[in-house]
Amino acid sequence: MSFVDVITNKRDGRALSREQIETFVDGVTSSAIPDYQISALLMAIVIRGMTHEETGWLTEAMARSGARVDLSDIPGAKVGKHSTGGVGDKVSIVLAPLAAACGVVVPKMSGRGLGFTGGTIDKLESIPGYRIDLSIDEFKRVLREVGASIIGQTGSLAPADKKLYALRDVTATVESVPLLASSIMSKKIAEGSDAIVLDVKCGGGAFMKDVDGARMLADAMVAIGARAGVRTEAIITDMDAPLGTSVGNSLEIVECIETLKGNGVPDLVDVVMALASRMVVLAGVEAESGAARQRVDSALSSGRALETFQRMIAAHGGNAQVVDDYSLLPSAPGRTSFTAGRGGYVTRVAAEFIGRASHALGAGRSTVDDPVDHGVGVIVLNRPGDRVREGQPLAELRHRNERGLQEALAFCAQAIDIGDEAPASRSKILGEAR
Amino acid sequence: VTFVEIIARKRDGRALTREAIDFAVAAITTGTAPDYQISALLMAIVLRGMTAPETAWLTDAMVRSGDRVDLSDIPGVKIGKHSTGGVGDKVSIALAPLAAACGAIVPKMSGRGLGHTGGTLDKLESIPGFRVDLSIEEFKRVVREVGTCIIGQTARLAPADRKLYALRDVTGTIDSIPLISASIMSKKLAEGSSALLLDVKCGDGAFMRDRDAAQMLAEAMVAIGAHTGVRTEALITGMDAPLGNTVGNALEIREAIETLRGHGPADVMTLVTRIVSRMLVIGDIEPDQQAALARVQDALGSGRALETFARMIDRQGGNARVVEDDSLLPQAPARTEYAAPRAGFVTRLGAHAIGQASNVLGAGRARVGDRIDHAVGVVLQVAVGDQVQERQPVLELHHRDGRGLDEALALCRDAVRIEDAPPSPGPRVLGEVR
Repeated sequence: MSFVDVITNKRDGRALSREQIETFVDGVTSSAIPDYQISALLMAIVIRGMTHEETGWLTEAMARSGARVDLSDIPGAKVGKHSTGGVGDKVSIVLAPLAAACGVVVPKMSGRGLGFTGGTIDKLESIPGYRIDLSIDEFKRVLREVGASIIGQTGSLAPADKKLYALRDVTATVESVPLLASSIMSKKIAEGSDAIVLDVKCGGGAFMKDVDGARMLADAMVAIGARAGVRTEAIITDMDAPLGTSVGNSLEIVECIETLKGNGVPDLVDVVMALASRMVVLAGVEAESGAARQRVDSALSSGRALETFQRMIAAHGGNAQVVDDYSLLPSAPGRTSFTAGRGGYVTRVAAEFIGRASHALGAGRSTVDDPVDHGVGVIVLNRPGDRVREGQPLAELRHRNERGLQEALAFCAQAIDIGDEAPASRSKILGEAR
Repeated sequence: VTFVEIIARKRDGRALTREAIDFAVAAITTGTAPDYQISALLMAIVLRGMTAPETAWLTDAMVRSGDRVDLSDIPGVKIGKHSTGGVGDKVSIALAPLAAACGAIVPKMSGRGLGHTGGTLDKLESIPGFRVDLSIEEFKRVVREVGTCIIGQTARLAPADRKLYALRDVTGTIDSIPLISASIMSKKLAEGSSALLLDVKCGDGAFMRDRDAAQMLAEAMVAIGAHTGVRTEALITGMDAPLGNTVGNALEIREAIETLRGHGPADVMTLVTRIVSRMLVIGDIEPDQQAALARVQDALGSGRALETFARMIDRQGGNARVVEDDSLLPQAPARTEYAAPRAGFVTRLGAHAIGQASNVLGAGRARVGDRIDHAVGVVLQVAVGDQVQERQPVLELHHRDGRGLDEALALCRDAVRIEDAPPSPGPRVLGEVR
């Protein structure tokens, strides 16, 4: 069977066989299939969809297209975590040491930021000396000693996905639940965890704009995990407003440390606690969520989670004293407030525009090789529902010599709405999939 | 607007603007759009469709992507003709001189055969000396002197279509009424005729297998013609059995000459006179079908049609004496009959299999650039509906020393069906679109 027959099968709305999908992924990996045929098939998949079965086969084939991390010689249950990405999303940095302090092994490979969302790897690199490019052996040693390690994704995991993603980005074929789900899950499965928790973000600052789309994506990923023998659970969380108060690399590290000290803002703490409890249950450390929750609370309040974070930083070559002395972190000298143009209630803090403001100040990158400024960013001082007076500061912008400041202030004006009535309060956690 | 945005718009099922289509075709022509983006757009068009205005804009942009033949300095009404291709389709060869003998100007650019269908150019090249590669200047001179000329398509006509077609062929994106109709019409409109008659073939030996699809294609092309100010009509004609009694290059030239003498097979005579009379009507040469038919009969009966063919051959460098002496045409050295395996009524002479049989004898090419044997082919000894005795010859294979003979005989077995009851007769002309 020629590859054109595979394309026409999907074009005509028929399901592909396991063999056809394996031929496809092998051909992508080896570059035997030309890009123009791959993109034609991708578009047919976007429009015709894929069954759960097809999506599972695609995921497995992509996971097998490269190396798979073998964590079997590390004692304990390994639970991975993935977020679909949002603004101010520092959950992984708090969650990894917290879950490790509860007895879960958390091997985490993260990405860099691109566009208006930040990247966990960029945030961690604002800690002086922190190395994200550990070898797999070093990674495993840190996991064994600390229980958690966060490193960058290696190019050898799921190379088929890497290639497909690059092509999807330039052919308008990103928006597809089966393709998104298999892309994420192929990398997570290749990372070698026994179980996975997923944080599917939904709202203006997320890739998935509405709850229905987020739920379909969550369900698809949970189904893939079940099929691949990796227990997978997902929570769907709101990303209309940024998560927590800080957006920008070192600013978010400070907020993470504060959260590990027990001083986190409720929305961030809610998401972290929900995920940590699920990880404790998935790891079999506790049998049910009530006991899991207690264990997580105790790890946080006892200071063990913070201490685990320190050990993780030290094991990665970073300066662990940052948890006690924030002046060791990069900090931009300029500070400018964005103030309320009128009195009333904050009705909206749009994550996307706060993300763009931080990006304009230099915290993010527009192309893969741009350098990032770890010291700049935005601190959101008010949440939706807060009552504010005219002229009251709503956000503090940390900038370097006013670079991007005017643009950032304009984005803040687009981001924050003030009205006469308080908006209905809404939980950060919108649903879950198991 | 970017190419990716255009892809996304079509992916989401929205119509493209004229500007977007112009931009896309320009990017395809100049090579600034990479193949993988073009194929993603093509697949989105195949699955989402195009409106009549979008299809007309696409056609128009493809016409403008290259040269347009300027025939304005040639007096008379220029009427083009195009067939979507079938087996034994020698209509153009008889029709062009016949219509010219009736006062129409018929400038015709044709293609070569590929797959199971033959090509008008290949057939004409079986006439010793006949040149199909005239320059545009030579072409116009012959058109002016004779009233008709048949040459090969030049690469400078609709280069965007050429590029798209090559990509569609390898990405499963051929089957799309808007893309097929825009492809055909862009070439025809670039040829500079002021009216156009289309023969849309439908059935076993045609690209369009079923009647509904042929109807849609015919309507789409007529709508494009109306949109661009070129009066266009289409006939939908059956292609379940080969047209006429011969399949193969020189064999078909012989039959075309017989037709111009007024002694062609009934189905060829009917189709040729029907198409030419419509051409005379849409070209305003005759006011109605009846007057047009009378003019056609006169051109045939007086010998002017055959004489016009002889002049066309002569002006294109060929030996015009072939019209009097067909022994000047190449002849295969050997003949083998395929006989009826049983007595009964011939209910099927499958055009596709007979076309393939002729091909494997050497009359066609499997890929562009293959050499063809002008002498070989298949002669039908009976017609669908005829009653035959056991072992009565049904097909006569003209071959060169047995080359491809076994395979051709096997294809003949697939092609011929003989049953106890006669088939219900179907007309050759199935419908028309004006």
